[in-house]
Amino acid sequence: MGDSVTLTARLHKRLAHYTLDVEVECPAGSILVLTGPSGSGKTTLLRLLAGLDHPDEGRISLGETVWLDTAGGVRQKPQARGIGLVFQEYSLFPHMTLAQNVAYATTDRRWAHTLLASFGIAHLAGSKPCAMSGGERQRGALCQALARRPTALLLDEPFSALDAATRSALRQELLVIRERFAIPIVHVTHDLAEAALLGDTVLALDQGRLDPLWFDRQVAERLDEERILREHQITAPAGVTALFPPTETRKGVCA
Amino acid sequence: MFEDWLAAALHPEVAFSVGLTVRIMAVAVPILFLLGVPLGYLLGKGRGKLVATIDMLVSLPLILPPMAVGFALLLLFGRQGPLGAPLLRWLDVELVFSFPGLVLAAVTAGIPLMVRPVQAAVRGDLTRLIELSAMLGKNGLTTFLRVVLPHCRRSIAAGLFLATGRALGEVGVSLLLGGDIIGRTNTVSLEIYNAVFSGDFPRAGVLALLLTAVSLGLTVVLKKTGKE
Repeated sequence: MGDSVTLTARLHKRLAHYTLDVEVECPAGSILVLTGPSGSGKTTLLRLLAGLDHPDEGRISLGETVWLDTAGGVRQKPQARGIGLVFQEYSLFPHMTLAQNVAYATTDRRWAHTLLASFGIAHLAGSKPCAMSGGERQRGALCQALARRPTALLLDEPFSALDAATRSALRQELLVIRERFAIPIVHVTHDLAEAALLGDTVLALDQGRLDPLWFDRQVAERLDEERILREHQITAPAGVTALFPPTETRKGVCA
Repeated sequence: MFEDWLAAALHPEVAFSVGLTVRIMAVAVPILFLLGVPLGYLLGKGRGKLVATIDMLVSLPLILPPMAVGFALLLLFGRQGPLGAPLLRWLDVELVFSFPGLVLAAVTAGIPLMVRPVQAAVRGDLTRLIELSAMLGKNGLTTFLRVVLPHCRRSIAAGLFLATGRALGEVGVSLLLGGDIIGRTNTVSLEIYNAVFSGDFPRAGVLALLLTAVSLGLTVVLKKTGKE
């Protein structure tokens, strides 16, 4: 796959407090990271790409295939776009076992088993999501999304509710997915480190518009915070220290 | 005393009213399921004035006095009524003072209790699961059968049990639509009224105990369904 399956979107939608007005492009085999403050329009953009919401104006295409063109009256349903989508929560059907969840997306049982095995969760095939850990559930959700061999993969903060170790492991697995499936991947995250690690392109949204300087500003602020913390040898926020006094006296803790 | 109750239990009207009520429930419960689940889904997911109007209409049998609901249905479905006349003329169906009328009374009494639990379940996390199903390429019918129904199964079961219990004990609407004709439209609830009215307390007691036992049984099943 090459440039012919680049995901391109130009979207305009009036929202309650601002207007979403963006133009994005994500070539096959690359990860486009969308980041930005809460309520900046990241999830809305993802839902527009998926076809779960509709813009006032815009065009979305994957290579030669046009999914949406408001001017030309084209509007493909989410079912027809063939996209894989993973939410932060509710990415698996709670009344189905893991195997049933993956089988819901594909009739190819061998492929379903291959996916479960490659994510190391084949032993959980008979388990329901409530009996699985957060990391296992999100691996299962990725298996389900990939089971129908999607044309593109959209991820809405899929790792944000996980612990650091699981998050790190899943990031590596996402990089493997990028190589193996060679499809456009759009990944929404608040985590700056995750954005920097995963993104072939990182775009920041603020109030519905792309802000090319937002990411750099956030990184600079973070570095500044860390410098101040280092200079003052602060190891824990003062409020936390007051609530949970350490057994040993810390040096240089601010009051 | 025991002989009185035994004789009451063997009274032909007891057997008839129990048989009639079972036959009404055999028709009304599937109708409640087939009507209540899609209606609950529509009211839970839908927006707009039409949905709000249907929502209000579904609530009416709970809000209004049963006699008032029965009277309204009698006017609507009577021989000269705006719905009853065409039904009689075109389909040769007469609802008033007949078995179909009693089924209509049972469905009317039970429908709000069938719809509400489904409506509440649909308003929860189900929206996200429906979207997930669409993203996996499934159409509305497949999503309804394989995601909505299994996900809401406890709410559907709760609705069915509550609606059945309510329909079993229905008197007001059944009296006006069915007419309480002995040997034709006297359901268990109406037969209790008839027995008390004629001073046959053992017969009323037997039927009241029977209804109580069925209602308690439904409550136990409902509790167990909720705990699963």
